[in-house]
Amino acid sequence: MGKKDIISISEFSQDEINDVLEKARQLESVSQEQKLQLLKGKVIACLFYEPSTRTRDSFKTAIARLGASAIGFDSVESTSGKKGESLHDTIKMYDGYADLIVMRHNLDGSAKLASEVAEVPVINAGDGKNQHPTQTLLDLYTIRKIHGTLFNLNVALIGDLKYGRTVHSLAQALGLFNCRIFLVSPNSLKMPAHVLEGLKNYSEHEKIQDVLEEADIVYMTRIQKERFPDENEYQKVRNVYKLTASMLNNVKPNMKVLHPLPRVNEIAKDVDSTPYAHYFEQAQNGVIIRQALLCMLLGAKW
Amino acid sequence: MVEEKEIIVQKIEQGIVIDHIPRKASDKIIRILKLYDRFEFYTGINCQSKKIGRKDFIKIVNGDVSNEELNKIALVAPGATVMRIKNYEIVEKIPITISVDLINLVKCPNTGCITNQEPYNKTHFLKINGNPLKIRCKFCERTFKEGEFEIL
Repeated sequence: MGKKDIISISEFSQDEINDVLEKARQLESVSQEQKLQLLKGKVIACLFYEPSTRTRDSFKTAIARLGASAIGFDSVESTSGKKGESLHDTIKMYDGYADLIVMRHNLDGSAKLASEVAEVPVINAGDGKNQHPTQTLLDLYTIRKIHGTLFNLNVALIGDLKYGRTVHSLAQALGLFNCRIFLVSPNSLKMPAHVLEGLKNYSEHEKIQDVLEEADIVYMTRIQKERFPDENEYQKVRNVYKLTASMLNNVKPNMKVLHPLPRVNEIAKDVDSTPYAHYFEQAQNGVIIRQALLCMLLGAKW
Repeated sequence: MVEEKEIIVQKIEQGIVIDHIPRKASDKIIRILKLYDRFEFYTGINCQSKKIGRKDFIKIVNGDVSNEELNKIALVAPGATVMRIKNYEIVEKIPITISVDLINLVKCPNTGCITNQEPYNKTHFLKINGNPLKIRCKFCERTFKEGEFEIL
């Protein structure tokens, strides 16, 4: 992978995605002791302008278990950004301190700007409504681990397809692997036209039941209350886009249910104990993918 | 070429003629080239045109245009033609095409884009389609069609 930075999944070719996933797979068999040597002595800046417990702790775990140390901040409250410092200046400063910068920011395109300002590599940990490439790569890694391939799968994306940047990037990436994509959402939360433009093999549905039997992967997303103008509409949708164990009677034996977490009630608790639940394993894969990316960008070999 | 019978405003001895401007786009050209501050100029507004039905045109006395300005003209007035005039004759037809990289020419319409917040940042768009025009912000990755964006 010849990349300096990880900014957007749209910058990845099929080969580059395969390369990252393969490197992560190889890293799984490296012992804990050996991993601690891989980035020993490196300093990684974690700049979180927006709170994000999961992504932040996944990165921090990845960093600690590679023997590197993390500096940075967890919210804009504790930064000079609050005193009016520009992103440009903050990045310039950390560029001088750290070997790599991981950044989450509330504005679209902030990661791209940071990558242009910084000489050290930048990993985008979410830029506003735009991209969250490490989430997409961990989703792809999880799917490949389950099915042994990313090619020609039937993947159902369910819930809020309008505002969820996770499903936008995932749909884009799955398109590279010739997957059939089922888009299941209420009418008001359909996949936006600019994402559909890049997809070849997809169909749109309103009922989860229409796609469950054919799916190899069911990817659920959270439907947020604030997306709806009135409470009634939200309650109606919330109960329709809910996956329960009893709906899973006729699914393919190797079908798995994924969710970027946190879930609210779109996956009922009784799904957890079925063989189809895979969302907690999915979250764990975030650490190994982020480790692989950190090592690749910093030139560590294993 | 400007045909003889289309010439409604006097010929200029030297300068630039921008012809076949889509109706109502001449105001934008006057603004982005800051013509009021820089040159004497004549305009034709809502004139008949064989080529495009109705058109505007601008004749800029002793004026010249830079490559950046040609890019801006192409952005606000697709299809316009630009000619350089010397001794009342057309000496050069300057092709106007929108370049692939549009740096500091367009303001990103996405209010959540970092380019609208950072004081030092330039804007940078990539042309992804020429006709109809479609451009993508290099930062927030949104795409915009003609008419959806403002020229800086």
